[in-house]
Amino acid sequence: MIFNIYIFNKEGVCIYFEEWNKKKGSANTAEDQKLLFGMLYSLKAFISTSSPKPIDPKTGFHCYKTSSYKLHFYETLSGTKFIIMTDPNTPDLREDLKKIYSNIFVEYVIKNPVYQPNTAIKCDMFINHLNAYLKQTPAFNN
Amino acid sequence: MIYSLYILNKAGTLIYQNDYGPTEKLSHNAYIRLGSTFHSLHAIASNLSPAGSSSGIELIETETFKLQCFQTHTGTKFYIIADPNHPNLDETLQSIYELYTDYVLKNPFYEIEMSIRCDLFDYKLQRLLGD
Repeated sequence: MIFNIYIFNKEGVCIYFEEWNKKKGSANTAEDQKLLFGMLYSLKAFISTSSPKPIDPKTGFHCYKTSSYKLHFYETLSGTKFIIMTDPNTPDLREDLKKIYSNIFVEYVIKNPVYQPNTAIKCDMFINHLNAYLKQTPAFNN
Repeated sequence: MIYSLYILNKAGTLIYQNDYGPTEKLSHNAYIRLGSTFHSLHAIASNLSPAGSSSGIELIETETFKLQCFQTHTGTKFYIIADPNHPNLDETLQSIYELYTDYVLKNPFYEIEMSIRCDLFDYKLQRLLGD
């Protein structure tokens, strides 16, 4: 089951957030977004120091899991971060995050002439395609 | 292949760390810092849960290693860093916990929440993880 998606630009501003299958009210999403970005920043530093072998900080971190959710992480070379939270039993969704980046984000956001880079995404085409894509993945409602 | 084991007390202080595989040696302070960082990440992760109350981080997967964490009811955290393909880390952590209760907690000279310096514990861990 997919709970939500976050997209952060390279400055750490959340440019897109949407949630599905909601279980608890999210009263302070903006706070959560900052907390999440801060945590991922430290987590990446933690991983590169803990790693027994040299690790690429951009592609090194794949996902983490707790008792009630799993966080999937994909970072592009330009520093845009895609994060999806699902239930803990979902298999790796990084391939889907890559597809969301290359087939939906690049096509409908980056190539959109009226989109101002690094601002919140309000492109209908992007939102519709993203929803359509995620809803047909087997992970969405299971 | 298991690379290293960390044990944190309930306040997040590192009380035990040892390496069992080829890994870069860090300074003692760096290990303490890593332990505290993990303690905070663990707490924040449980806070960020989109699905009601949650435990902290149980498993981290990366390109070069896998980190599995086990938290006891009293708040002590055990985490191991192992090869990404290593199976049954859960069971390994359970065995480590058993060794901890037998050779650390039952040691009359061990002061609770303080760094672990018990030869028998070191020896048993080496036998469990060192091959």
